[in-house]
Amino acid sequence: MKHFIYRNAGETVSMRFSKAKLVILAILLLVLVVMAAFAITLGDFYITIVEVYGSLLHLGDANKRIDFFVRKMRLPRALTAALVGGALGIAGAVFQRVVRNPLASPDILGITTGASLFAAAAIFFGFFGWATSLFAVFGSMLTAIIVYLLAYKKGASPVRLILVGVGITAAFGGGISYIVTRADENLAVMVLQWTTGSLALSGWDEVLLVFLALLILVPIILFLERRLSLIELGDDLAVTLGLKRETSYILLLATASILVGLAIAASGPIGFVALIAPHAARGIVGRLNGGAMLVSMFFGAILLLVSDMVAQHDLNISVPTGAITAAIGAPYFLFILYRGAKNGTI
Amino acid sequence: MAQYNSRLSAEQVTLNYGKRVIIDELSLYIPDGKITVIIGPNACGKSTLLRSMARLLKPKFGRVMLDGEEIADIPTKIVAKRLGMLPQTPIAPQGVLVSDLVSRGRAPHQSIFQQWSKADEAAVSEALVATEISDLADRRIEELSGGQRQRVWIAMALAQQTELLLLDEPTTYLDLPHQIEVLNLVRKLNREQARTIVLVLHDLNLACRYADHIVAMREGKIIEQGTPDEVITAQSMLKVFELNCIVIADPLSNTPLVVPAVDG
Repeated sequence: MKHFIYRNAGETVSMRFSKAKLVILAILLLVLVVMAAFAITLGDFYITIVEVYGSLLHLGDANKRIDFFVRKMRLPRALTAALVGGALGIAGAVFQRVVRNPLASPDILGITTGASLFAAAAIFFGFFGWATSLFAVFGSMLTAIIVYLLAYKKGASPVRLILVGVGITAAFGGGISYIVTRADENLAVMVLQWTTGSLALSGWDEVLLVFLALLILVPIILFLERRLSLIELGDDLAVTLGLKRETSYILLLATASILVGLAIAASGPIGFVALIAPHAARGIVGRLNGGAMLVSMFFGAILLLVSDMVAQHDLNISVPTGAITAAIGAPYFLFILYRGAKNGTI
Repeated sequence: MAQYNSRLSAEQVTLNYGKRVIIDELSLYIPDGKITVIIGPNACGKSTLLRSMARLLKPKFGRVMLDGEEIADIPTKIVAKRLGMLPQTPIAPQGVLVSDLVSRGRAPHQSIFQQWSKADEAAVSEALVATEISDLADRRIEELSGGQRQRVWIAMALAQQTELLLLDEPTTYLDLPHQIEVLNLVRKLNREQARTIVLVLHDLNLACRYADHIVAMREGKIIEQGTPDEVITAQSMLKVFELNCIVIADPLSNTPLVVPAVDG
């Protein structure tokens, strides 16, 4: 059998899980944990992987210096990378499936830029730290609503959502440039820093923020997943099979937008992860239905963790993480476009 | 009102896309337990009518009734347990497996905690058997031929286990043997399981063979309806299709057979 099937007596609960997907999820989780520990070893002060686990799990005598680097400096950054990556990975999968287009992502739908614009405005008006993050979340949600309303015409069609998203991205991008030119030098630098996307400043606050976001929103996404598998069949079949179409679009887009907003609030906009992770996940599991949405989450987590390792350690100068994801993501994006155009799937 | 029982009907419906009115005050009562075939020239409003009867298009005026209630007032999931519809060109998500696609027909019977009951399992495997695609269950939809693919979609609609089933041109893109295969399946479902089936078909002679009730439309209006013998005559074909023809008896089924005139 390829599935575990669970049914209670009376069948008030009946579930089916693909064994292969469970195994893949377990492997990805393991890879993530190992990569995170590896990430923590790296740096000017080298710590062995045994020492990393020792410090995390309180094995043996505490070494204050190691504890400081592991717990105060590197662990929060690695965790933020993994959590933000995971949030972008699963949210990206939701966007692609709602919009029925493998090129859809919060970047392309304008949601990332919306969050950045609001964060930039916050910095411009002197709101820093948590306030900037709050503005970013608000910006992503508001942008999602604006895009949805502008695309709405007897229901929001996927193509219109993308077109409006591209327009909003351009317009809001212009808004950010305007703020940069109007702000004084220090603020302009802060805005630019924020809008590049970086994990350099992540601490436990960021970890907590994104962890809670995932803890609450991922179960909601899994709860709504069955609607995604109907939306994919096109509006007519979806409704025929009993889908409340508008409610479903709104619930799914809202959940994914809030998740993206919270992730961006912690790290600044990080491009391409939400676009690439679902593709990589599909490459392994074929389709992202059911629990396979989590495969996209893990891929996003691993992708951002690795990108952040490269950003910190592999180049002579430290570069923003967003630059690395773009350097990996952009060629991959072009590859997807090329392949899609060749098979006529895009 | 019709003289027969009808769970599904359109009453004085006006259907439009934007400013373009496709159908103006049309009424149609679908006879229970029968195969109804809607025919008519391209763009006469057949598919539009079918979509409105499946609550996919809201009438501007008039109403669609299901079991004595206005369909728009019935929760969509309840409708989905009674009425299935296969659109003309359904979208298959890329890379989807046949078994997965057919399973989605169970959606109206499932909920967050009830995702794979014994009834679901039985309905899916019955649907696969009925459409003779059990051995394709683990294949990707892209690997299948047009005829196989059409059977997968029908299997999905069957797994939904609705007593009413609307099929919009289920034989398009199929060669003649595959058309016959699909229509035989439709007839089997009707005869063995007493399902009410509505089809849009282009081939008049096949329509005559398989229909209990034929509805002939032109420019958004019903021109004729009744048994194939009543509806398919040289005179009505001229009215409905502007087609000059003679109608003879099909040598095998004895149903009407339309033979177009040589020079139109």
